[in-house]
Amino acid sequence: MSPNFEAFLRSWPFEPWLSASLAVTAGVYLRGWFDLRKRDAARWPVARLAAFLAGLATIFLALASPIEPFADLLLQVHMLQHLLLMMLAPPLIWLGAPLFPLLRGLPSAIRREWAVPFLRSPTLRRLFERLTHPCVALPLFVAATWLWHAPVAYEAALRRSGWHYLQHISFLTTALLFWHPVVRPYPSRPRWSHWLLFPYLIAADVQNTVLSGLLAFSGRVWYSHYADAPRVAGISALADQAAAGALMWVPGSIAYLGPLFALALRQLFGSEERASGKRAATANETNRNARHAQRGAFDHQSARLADGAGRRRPPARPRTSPGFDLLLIPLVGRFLRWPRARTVLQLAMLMLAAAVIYDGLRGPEFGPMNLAGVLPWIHWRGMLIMGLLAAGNLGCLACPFTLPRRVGRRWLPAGWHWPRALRSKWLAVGLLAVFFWAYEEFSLWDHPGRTAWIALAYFAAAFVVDGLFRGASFCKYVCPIGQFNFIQSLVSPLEVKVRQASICAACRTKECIRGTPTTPGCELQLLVPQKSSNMDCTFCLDCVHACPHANVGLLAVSPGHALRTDSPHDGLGRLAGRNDLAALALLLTFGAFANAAGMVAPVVQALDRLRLVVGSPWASFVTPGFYLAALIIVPTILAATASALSCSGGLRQHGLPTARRFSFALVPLGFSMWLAHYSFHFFTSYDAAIPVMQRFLGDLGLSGLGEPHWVCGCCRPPADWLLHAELLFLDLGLLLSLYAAYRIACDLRPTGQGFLRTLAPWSLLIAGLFFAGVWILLQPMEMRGTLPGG
Amino acid sequence: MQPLRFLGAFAVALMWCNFARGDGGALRLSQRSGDSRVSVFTAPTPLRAGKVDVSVFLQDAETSRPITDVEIFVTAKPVERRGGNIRKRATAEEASNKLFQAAELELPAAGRWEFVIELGGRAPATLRFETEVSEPPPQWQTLAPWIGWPWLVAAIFCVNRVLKQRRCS
Repeated sequence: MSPNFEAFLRSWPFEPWLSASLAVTAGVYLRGWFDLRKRDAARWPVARLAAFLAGLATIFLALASPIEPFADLLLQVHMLQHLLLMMLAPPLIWLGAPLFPLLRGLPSAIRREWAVPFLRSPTLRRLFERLTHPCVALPLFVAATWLWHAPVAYEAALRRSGWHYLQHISFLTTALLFWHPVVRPYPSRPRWSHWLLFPYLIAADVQNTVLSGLLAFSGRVWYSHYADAPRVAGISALADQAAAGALMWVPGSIAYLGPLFALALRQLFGSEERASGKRAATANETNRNARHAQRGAFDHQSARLADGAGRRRPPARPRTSPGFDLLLIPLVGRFLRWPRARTVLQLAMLMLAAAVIYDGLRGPEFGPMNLAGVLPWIHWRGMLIMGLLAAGNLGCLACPFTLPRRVGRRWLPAGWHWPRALRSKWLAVGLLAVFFWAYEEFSLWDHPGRTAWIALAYFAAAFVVDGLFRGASFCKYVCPIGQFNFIQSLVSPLEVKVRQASICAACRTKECIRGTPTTPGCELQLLVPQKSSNMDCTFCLDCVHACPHANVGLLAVSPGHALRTDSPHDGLGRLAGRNDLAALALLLTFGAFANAAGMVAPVVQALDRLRLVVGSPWASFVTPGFYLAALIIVPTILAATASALSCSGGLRQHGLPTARRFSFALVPLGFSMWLAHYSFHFFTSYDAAIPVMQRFLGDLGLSGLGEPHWVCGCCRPPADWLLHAELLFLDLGLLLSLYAAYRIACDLRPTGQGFLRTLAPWSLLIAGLFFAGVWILLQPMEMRGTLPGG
Repeated sequence: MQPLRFLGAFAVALMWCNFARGDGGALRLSQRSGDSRVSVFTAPTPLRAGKVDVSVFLQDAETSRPITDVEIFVTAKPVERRGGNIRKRATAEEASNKLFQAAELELPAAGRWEFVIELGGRAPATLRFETEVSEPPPQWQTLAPWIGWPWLVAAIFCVNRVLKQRRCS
């Protein structure tokens, strides 16, 4: 085998964007095609599927195969790439009649909410009809072909990848428009005579022949890039150009004349389709009426298919499958269903907490070398937020602070009622604000001793509060970490829910809340059938173990649904009806940005400058002032302003209820900021724990893990993908927040003018927070908890 | 949940994407060196501080057959200051086009840089060329697609709602 050809066969470029897009498109088509084929196998033969997949494979071959890297060296390979994009892929895609399979293959929510309004828009349909009319499609196709083959444009595409992408997109788009009238994919019904296709295809072939002839017979090299390029396989630049011209000429002509021939045969000898068209025309007396009828049929059918009404449904029956349930997943589900699972997780966390406290008090007072400087601030925070993203409140599930309370309940009365005045989240709001300030003020990440004392105080507080008071008062009213988890888990994809509501409706014993002799019921007094979100749910799974009907699961839900709908919640009422919960949502949202901003260089430098300017003793008020402004003053002013502006449009409710309701729309963006921030620390420093653990065990006389290699504990530059991931989190948070705000505005003002005035102020606030988050992520960040040098 | 899972999987798949083209780009040098012809390409065009790709295509000068078994090192030297040299071995693994041997270098600053291509093998040779490396674009500009796509989605959503409302009314 020639070495050039061998190299060609091995030269596969890495194009994940393209591959992922094509794979998703193929998956959607396949799903829809199978669905349609079940209904009407004759209309959806395997040939359609094969044609569509071949079309996608052709695009892959053109752009993500050895053709792509070799296109820079040989014009004929570049020409082959363009031929695949313009002559082969588009007709194959149209032969797959992709409209209905792609539509049916989309998830129903996307189909109904996103695709149908576009498909039903008369303006867009008129535009598409005009673009695919032969009189428009041909000039567009010819213009794209000739303009891009002009040396200036072609050279630009070879030099700049942006122009190259644009060239490929314009080739593919105009070719799709060009081939649409030729293939006439189902269910399109052209409103022009089929005879028009004869001059159409002939004109296309003529222009192709002229251009390829000019290229093939030219005495000079058109494109200087290829004139300068090294010669592969001894092919001269002029010979290469002639070969490219021939390639364009012969297969190009076959591509145009082949369909022309087939069309001529069909027009001359007739076909079933034509006959049926004739019958339809006769039945409707005039051609015009027939076209209208056909268009109407298309409208009706596409709408039915898009709405999912076309399927012959079985008689209605109660839904038996509640969807994804983590408890039914083989290994994980079985473990979580085990009654001792939580205790095992808590014991593991308790051991780690004990190690953190011991090392924090007895180990080196230097964060990166101490378990108390690394495990809580890098690993635990990162895994907590990623757990919230992946599943839900796993942090509370494995919480070690609630283990000693069992002992406390034996020694202390545990029968008092929590004071009525404190039965809200205000205490936790205050504690959280103090914690955010204290973290920065006392550099907790760098003072293991202080971290250890905080952990000890946490254990003591849980022991005393739950030892004296009934229920899980500590979790519900005091624990700042718990409140963080409760609010953030409103965005989580899983929720502790009943599997079938009818079973709960018939249940009279309510073990899920009352418990059984062997299993406690919900200590937070949440009745599972009336639970509408993760708020106040510690994922303890006591209800799962207590339910005699095995009717409680960890079910998949739409993330953030509780933020949008504001359903009444057992034991809490409506989330948006409570000032304390709204304040908690605002505090945690703005806290996410303040906490991340506190570690980026420009903010740290600005605060240092301010300290120098104000001098002693005012310098000590700079950090508290920053947190007071970031957590309380700015959120209050912004929420009040946005609320006032929302209400100025004539909203029936007052400013405070509006502010409460919209505050929850900010939660997803806050969550995404926490996620971006903590995942940054986790992924840049996850191995910092290894040398610290080696040192810790070495100090205890256990040298089995060897000597610590402190190089592992050093900061390392963040990988490229990490910034992409952080931005992606922020993007998704933005979209979820904007959608929540939109749904809330719909609830408050379903129709009429002023809807935009209600929504706009909060959308602007969300946009502002998003850009603040982007700015923070693009700044150099302190690598806290790691050694400063390599 | 299903649409979100679908979108999530797509988004995760896209997260690992790399915008940079593996090799190729602008031809910087093409000359005969002993029995071989050496062509050097750089990308991106124009060269900017940050990651740059230097690809070397070595051929037999007479037969045009590719030569891939020669050890090649690429060194980038700042012309206007001393030190800061970056040296890396070019390999076929780093190149998409397996006729080439490519090296990805991280140029820390803009300015005039000299690139030195050292060829090993039976007839060792050293080739040089100088080129201007411009300032990298602002970070927000390179990350614009990551920051901008949700706004495109939001805009499509707005159009979608307007169309839906028009139809309902």
